[in-house]
Amino acid sequence: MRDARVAWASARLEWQHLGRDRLFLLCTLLAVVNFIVVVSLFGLTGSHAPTALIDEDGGPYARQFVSALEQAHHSFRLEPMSAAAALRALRDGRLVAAITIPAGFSDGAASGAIVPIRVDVDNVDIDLTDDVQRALPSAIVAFGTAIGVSGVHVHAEEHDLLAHDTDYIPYLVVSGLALDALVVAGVLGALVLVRDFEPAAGRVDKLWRLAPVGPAAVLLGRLLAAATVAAVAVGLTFVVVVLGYHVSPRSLPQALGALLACVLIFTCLGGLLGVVVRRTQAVVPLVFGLAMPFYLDSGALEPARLDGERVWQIAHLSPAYYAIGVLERAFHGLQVTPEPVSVDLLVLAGCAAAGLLAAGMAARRGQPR
Amino acid sequence: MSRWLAGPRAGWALAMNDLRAWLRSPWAVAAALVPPLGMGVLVAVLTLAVSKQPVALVVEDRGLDAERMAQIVRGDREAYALKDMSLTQAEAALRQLQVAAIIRIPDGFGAAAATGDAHVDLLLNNIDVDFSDDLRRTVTRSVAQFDAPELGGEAGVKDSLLQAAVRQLAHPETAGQALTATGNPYRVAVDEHDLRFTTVSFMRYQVVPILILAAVNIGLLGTALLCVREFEERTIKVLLLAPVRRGFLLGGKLCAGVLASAALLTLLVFGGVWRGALRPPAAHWPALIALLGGTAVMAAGLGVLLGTLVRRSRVLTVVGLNLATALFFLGGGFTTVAFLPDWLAAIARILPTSYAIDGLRQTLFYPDLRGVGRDLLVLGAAAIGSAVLSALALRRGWNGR
Repeated sequence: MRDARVAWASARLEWQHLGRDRLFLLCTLLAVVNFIVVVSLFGLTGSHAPTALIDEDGGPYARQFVSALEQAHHSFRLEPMSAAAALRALRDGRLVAAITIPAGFSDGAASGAIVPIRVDVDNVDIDLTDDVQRALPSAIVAFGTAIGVSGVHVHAEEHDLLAHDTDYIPYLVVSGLALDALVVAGVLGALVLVRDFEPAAGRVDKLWRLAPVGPAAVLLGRLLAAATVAAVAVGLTFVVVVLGYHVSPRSLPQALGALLACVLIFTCLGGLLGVVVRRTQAVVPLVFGLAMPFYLDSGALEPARLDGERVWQIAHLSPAYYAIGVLERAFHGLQVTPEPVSVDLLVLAGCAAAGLLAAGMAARRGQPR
Repeated sequence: MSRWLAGPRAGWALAMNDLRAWLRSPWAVAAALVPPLGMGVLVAVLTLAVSKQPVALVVEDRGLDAERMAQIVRGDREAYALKDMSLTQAEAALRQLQVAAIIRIPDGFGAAAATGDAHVDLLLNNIDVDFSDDLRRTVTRSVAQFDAPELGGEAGVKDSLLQAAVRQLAHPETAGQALTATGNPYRVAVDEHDLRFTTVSFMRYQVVPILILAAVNIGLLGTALLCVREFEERTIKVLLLAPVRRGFLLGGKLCAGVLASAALLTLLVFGGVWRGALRPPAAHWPALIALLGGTAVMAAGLGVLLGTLVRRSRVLTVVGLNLATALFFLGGGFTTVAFLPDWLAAIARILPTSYAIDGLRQTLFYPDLRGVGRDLLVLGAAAIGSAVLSALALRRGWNGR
């Protein structure tokens, strides 16, 4: 009971601290929104490769071919231009490719001849280069079908597992929410504890040993305060995602619950990092820096297992992997981890408990100083 | 003479003091090393998987046409991470996310192909549109290769010519005629010209964000936190009372940040060269070194400015996170600024990291150094601008305390 009172008092003290620092709170809110916005940028360049279109024919078949290019699985953002301008832009890295439809294309296609189209590719980025190389046959097949060619023996027939594809930006912003929680809750959790160990704050940790309660109560109160602020910040991002990106969760209670769980868990892990590292100078770059590899290897862009077994195995080290599994399920109804959501949640809860326990032990270890 | 040297000496002493403080903390060193190394390892692993789709191939027809179709799919090793399975195994793998799709060549494929009515089934786990489109493009290409082998790229053209040669052997009356790849019913062929001899690998392409992450992380956040320490521990008053020009104090702080970033970047560059991930043309090395130096100075300059403006580590943390996030992501860490919508690209152009990333990509992946001079100029201007603004911010500190 006494420990609970101390924890509550510690939380209240921290709330007052944070409440007085309006600039800090404002910047925290800005940070989470900023993070989600810039993370979603990836979705703007993942498809629709900027491609120059040089139409030297202009005939009906050329127009039909351009239409097939435009509909080739979100592959091209066609920009009509001259050959010289296209080459310049390609060499400057402003285009992925330049497609030239030669003069006589329509006549050739009408007569049944095979007409080659010139495609200049800036093969600097293997991902985009592959997209272009694979999209062109798609467009050619669509063109052939549209003009009713004969001699085609095989067709592809697609059966989708899900009723519709989830657009890329809505997918990214949901995984962005997990990473947002990781960065903000992690940093706040670390900051509220690291302060006591720093000379500038007078090494308050020394006083902990004089207190008639264990450090766990003080620590718990501080983390509760940090988690509250992080929850408000992540809540704001949630509103931005729903209203700004028009991404509504399929299950609101599940989505909110998952977000809250993420906040609590990452605050605890941040707290652990704070108690272990004990320097703001180290802890902030560490959280921010680690967020980037976590971002790549947590199923943020696509299910981690589809990147290969080794990547998937490494992904299990990242708490963001489980968080994204839960959130994508709650928002889009997608299963992005082979493990069921209940297992993901269990692992997250285990991480939080382990983080809290380890932080308490680390704080106790520091006491005799 | 010694009076003239007093300022630089004080600045240098300050820089060394900051560096020692940084090196004394193993966690600070870890914070510098772990993120770029972690990202490097991850990128190396991802290189094996990028642009390859994990797919199960189920062949139910035993005829020659089905085998040919299966060989087309199996032969495209760049596009598929393929596993031959039974339908039951494949469906289980699809549920477990071991594969993203099942390509099924159904029973009766050969007979249907003879009448022009064969189909290859694609059972797709269409989780997101980006991933699904990749698979749709790839499978459409494979299927199209059945009738038009040349649509499969270079390998497809060879396949097509081989078939033409076989035909010529079967029909000796055509001997002496040029071998031409025929049989493309779609009437359009692709004549591809690549800008560079070999496609840049994912690993090599991702070296740039790793370097920028290191610079932003340590140059900006690390330097800013070292600066703010002087304000929080009140040692700034002592520093300002020292008989040294304020410029030397700022120079010392900047120098510490630059040296820490430069040390880290040097380590990463050596690692990159050793692993073969960093291979600029020989003539581009001076430009590369200048760009990395410029990036380190720019990041440390912004760090000093941030530290002297904000002065409290807690606020600095979140302001720094905002800035670092924008500099890394919006600057083009994981994207190409030129491919963003115009209005967004215009905003990105305000950020000095976009010039650093542009310059590094130009130096590493392009044959000439077009635009690198401008990039260096912007980085230098950002560093000088930060230093001037820091001096002004410090003046506020002098008057205000």
